[in-house]
Amino acid sequence: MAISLTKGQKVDLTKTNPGLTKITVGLGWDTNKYDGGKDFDLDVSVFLANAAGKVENESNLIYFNNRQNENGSVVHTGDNRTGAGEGDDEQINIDLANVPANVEKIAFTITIYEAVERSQNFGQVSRAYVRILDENSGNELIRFDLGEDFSIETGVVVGELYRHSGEWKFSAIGSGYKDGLAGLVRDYGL
Amino acid sequence: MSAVKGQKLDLTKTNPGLTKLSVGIGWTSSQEVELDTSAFLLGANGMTARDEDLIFYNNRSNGFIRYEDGSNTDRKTFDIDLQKAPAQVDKIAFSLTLYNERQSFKQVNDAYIRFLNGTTGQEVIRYDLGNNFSVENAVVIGELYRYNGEWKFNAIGSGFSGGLNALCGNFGIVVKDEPAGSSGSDKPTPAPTPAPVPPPAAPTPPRTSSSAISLAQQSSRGSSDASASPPSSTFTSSSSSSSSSEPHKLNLTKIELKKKGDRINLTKSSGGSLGEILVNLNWNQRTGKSGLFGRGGRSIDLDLACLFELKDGRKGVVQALGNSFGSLTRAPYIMLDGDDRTGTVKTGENIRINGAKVSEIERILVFTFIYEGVANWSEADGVVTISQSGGPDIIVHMNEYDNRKGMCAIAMIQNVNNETFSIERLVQFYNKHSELDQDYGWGMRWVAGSKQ
Repeated sequence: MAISLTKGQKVDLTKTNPGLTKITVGLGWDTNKYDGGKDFDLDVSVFLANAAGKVENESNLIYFNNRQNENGSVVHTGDNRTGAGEGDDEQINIDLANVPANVEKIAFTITIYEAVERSQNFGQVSRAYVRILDENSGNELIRFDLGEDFSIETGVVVGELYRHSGEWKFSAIGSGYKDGLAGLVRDYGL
Repeated sequence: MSAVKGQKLDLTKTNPGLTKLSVGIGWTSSQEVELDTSAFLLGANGMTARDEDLIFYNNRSNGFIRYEDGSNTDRKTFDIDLQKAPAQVDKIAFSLTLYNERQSFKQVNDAYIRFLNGTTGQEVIRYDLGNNFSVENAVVIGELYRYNGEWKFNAIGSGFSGGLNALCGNFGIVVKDEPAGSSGSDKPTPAPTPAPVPPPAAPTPPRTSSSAISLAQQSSRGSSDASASPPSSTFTSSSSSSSSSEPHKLNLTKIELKKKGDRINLTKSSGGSLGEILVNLNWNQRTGKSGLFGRGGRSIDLDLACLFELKDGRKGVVQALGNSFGSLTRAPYIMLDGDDRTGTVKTGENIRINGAKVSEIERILVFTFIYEGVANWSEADGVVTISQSGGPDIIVHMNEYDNRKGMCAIAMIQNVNNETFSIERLVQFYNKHSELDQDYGWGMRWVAGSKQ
């Protein structure tokens, strides 16, 4: 049974799931059911940050133009342009055992592509969530529904995996940004 | 506090003690744009539980919400007693719909919703929708909703191109279809008005749908298998005497010929003359299912034309090709107005028929052809409106398509006892004039031509 998190909550991931090394992080959302207006294109980006919370080089930003990090331990499986359909809209596969030692945090973000140009924000996105699956068994381990917390933001740090005493934990962050991916990239020192 | 599209704002949490809420809705638009305001009472699943959960001009109030025509600043108001809202009402969605679904919110400006403390009159939230609409003719302004025991407001400002019907569908309300058969009408929503109901007196086929609701402004319509009665041209709001409601001026009776062979006679006015009959063709330039207007897309130029046959045996064509524009005062007593090459001009293409000369006209075959652009009738979404003063509009939607052929016979106008005309829906596709001619036995000779 998956653990359902609320904003701000932190939970053990590998400690409570011994032997877990490969995970899939699935993110999903529903957008505009209305006619007219522009189509929505939401993107998942992953920031591999050091102990200081900064991303040391561009290859540690995993997004639609850079699908994996240098050793292939973090892989973005592809860009979903519409958000249509059931299930996860985008997925990241992570081999926890092989994540480089200088990566202390793996932050998952969702941003709206061309949000300003298209006059879009997270208030127009519903049922956004992140969940962590055991890649081998497919079991859902952790789930965080973003729910009510966002409206005029165009980028959201959904949550982050972080090292703690040799284990990986997950923190449900759910903080919003108004400058989309560009703003996040600045914050992470790129 | 002012909201932007998408924003979710606390209403009661930041305004403790707020229970009586006054919701004001307003907009600006030209005279001919008619908007209706509704509130949908929704459960946690986002759906209405029953028909009475739509608060609008035909169902103005229940125990906690009351719809009124506005008096001062706001055009429409809803008075809400939040404390009395039943627990199963989780959400209240406010909407604006265009009565004429051929229009869009591009023609509406400065729409807003504002929430006032009903006790103090103080404005607590205001949301200006802005002018970012394209094809929408039914818009969800925003939703009041419960969250953790409080009420919040979500500024939506998005909508549908399928009118009140689409909006109702979104909220789980089934809209009554016209009794004259709904077959063959797939998309877009063909009814030009929110499906009217028949008057109690008029004989109509039995209806099977039970969970349906009437969106008609008044129980008055003609049916497509009988002569239309003259419409009551005005509708005065029947709301309580205390509200200073201005009378609505609405064309309440529009008749749609939905199936091939549907036929109706034009109405004679009290003077006994038919007057001038206007045949209008209008079309959209949509690109694909998303319903966006194709700014970059190729435009389609539809030409409206007709074949005529007079009582004395003379035959001919009225069309822009070859400059055969006809005349109202001389034979054939039929005239084509100027050419709209884009379809964006509101008036579209018009043919006028001099009804006083009915006894000299045997029959008129109204057709259209694609002069420029690909034969894409589904995207053109043509509609022909036949109107006469004092009579109801008669609508033929070209909602059957054959994209391989560039010409479409729309309607046959036939002399009835030298007194009036009958209008029959055809919507049949052809490759060229000669095929059309042959099929209806006109017997003319055809050569190629082009516009000057």
